[in-house]
Amino acid sequence: MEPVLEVSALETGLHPAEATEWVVMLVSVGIALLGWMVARTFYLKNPALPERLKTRFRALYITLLNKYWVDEIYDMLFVNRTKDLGNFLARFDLSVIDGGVNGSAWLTRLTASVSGFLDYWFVDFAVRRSDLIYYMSYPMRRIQTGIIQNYAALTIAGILLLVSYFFMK
Amino acid sequence: MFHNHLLSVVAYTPMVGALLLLFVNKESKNFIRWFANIVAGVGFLVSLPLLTRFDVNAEGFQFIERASWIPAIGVEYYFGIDGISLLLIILTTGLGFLAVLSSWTAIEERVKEYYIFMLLLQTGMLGVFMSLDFFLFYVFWEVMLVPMYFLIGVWGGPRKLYAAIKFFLYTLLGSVVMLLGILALYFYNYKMTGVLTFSIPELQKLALPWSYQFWLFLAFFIGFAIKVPMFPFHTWLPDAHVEAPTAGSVILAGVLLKMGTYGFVRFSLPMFPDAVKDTASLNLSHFTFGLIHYRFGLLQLVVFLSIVGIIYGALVAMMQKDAKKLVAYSSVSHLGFCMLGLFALNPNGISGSIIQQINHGISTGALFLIVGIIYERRHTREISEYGGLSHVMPTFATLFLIITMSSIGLPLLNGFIGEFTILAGAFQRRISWGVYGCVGIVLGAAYMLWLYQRMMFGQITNPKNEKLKDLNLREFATLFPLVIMAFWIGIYPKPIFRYIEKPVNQIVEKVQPGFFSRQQQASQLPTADWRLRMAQGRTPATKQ
Repeated sequence: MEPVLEVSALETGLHPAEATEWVVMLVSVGIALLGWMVARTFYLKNPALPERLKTRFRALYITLLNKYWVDEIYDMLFVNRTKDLGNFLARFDLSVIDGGVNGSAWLTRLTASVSGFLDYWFVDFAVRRSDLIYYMSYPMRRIQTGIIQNYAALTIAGILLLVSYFFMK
Repeated sequence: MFHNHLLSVVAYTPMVGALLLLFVNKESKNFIRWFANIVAGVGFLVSLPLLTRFDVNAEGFQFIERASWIPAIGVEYYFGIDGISLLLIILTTGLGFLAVLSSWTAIEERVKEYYIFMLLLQTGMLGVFMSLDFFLFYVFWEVMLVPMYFLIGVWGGPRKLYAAIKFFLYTLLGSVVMLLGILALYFYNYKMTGVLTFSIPELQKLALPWSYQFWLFLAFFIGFAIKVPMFPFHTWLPDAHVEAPTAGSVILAGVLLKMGTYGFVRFSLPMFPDAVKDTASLNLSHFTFGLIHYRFGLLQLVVFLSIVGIIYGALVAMMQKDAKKLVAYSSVSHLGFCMLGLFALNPNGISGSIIQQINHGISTGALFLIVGIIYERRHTREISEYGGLSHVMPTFATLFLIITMSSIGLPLLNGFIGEFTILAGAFQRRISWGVYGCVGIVLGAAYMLWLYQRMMFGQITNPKNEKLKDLNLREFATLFPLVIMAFWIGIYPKPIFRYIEKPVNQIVEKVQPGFFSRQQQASQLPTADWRLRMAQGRTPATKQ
């Protein structure tokens, strides 16, 4: 205590308040002695007294026993609210933020499955059902025989058709 | 010959080990274990000469190795380190060795493949920290993902595939955006100088126009912010950490996350100085349909996300029921601190951030080892399954407590040095940033101490915990070096600060030109009024 007061005394230019210092010292020693005496009375001299005080000042006793419920109030106001916030944020993290990440993955899978559908039923369909081309080409194959007389006959038939069309008109 | 190629020797020692392992019969598991441990140990030992031969007073990069690789597009094999990368390299080799050592009994299946991937991962990470060529950097950046993907996907927990794919895709998304940024830089440089080069020191000389700085910052930001990870890009991390095997989590938290912050230090800060100082280019009304008018800039955006990460990560960590998940979320909080320090943009903030990155590697690496040790005994990570362990595992309890304290930031331990320096930097920049940071420290103490109390103190309530064995020699050997390092950095961090002083000052000078001359002027002011000095230099003048 002394050095602290000395420094402040130097800085402020006042005399060290020795009287105050003595009062503080005596009061604190006095309080300590009082506590010691009360404890001596309660635990050694008259053990029945605390019991009587307890029944007499029940409310005071319970308040003191629970340390004015400071811990409970503190828990209620700060600790549990911080935990609530933490729980809320942990849920938020899982649902909203990670949900967003998984959501983007889901979206990618969705668009992928749509384009997969289009690919399967349109683009790949033409390739997969190449037999359709085979069937569709049947008339062509009947005409395209490779025999020159057939071609000549077809040509003549075509010319006749065109000429007759010309004259009919 | 090895003298001139020290970096290559350090980088490829693990890879050579991995290649040799390919020729070993996969049934001789113990030989593979011994061999991998020795390779990892040698990998650490060969990195030590870097520390002694490094010249802390020299400017620029050291141990340079440079050779043309793909001349047609100007790609070079270009290695070189400064103090920042040096510390991260030593962290990588040291932590890598401990991670390999910790997997002796944890891995029983596919032992050979496991160690090969661990060693390859090691080379990938070292390459990232050494590369001075963007192309080479990107190659290593991607190479690193592959072994990690397999480590999580093959040796992971119940949801390993989900976690591995999420990790891979998420980080790949970020790095591809970063690749766009790299290419934009490359072609802008070509347009300006007519030289095709990916050389990082060359590209750093470019004075980029504002629009380039803005968009390139964002492109790199996506890549690095996912890696760090910053809120709200962090959700791959809890999954990957929880599912990964212990050694994987150690490396993931200890080194891989530092890639993001390293990227910010190496690229974003010195290359886009206008963008990182920007405080006015964005307006909230664009995002809120004109409802709220608030002008802010990229700086506020990053700092806001960092502070949210600090507090949010801590609060979410507090309520986790899984110990590993708790440690994972605490990483989000701690990396928020690192980001806050970086974007304080002053020497204290940046050097604090780098120290804190090392610290996080030590403390969180150790925490994952601790969770791994206990998981190996009980095969559960539920916090409620434990309690009173200090009765049966006193050595474990002691080391765990020291690491807990180091993670919280107790004086005499490493976390304090990092957090204190970061907060000093943040306070100098803006008092409110420092205040929010302090809230994170309080919450950090809350979740860590609560975790420790629930797991270690009280009576043993679960009969399964009564017969748990204390640490064996190997487990002790994995944790003890980290404890030593925690104390060393906590008590005498000066050697470590000396390694990063020069590069940090260079970065600050690049971001805030004239910072140090202003500071000098301020210190010569006749008045000792610290407020005036802060206003002048935004930093106290007392830093040797």
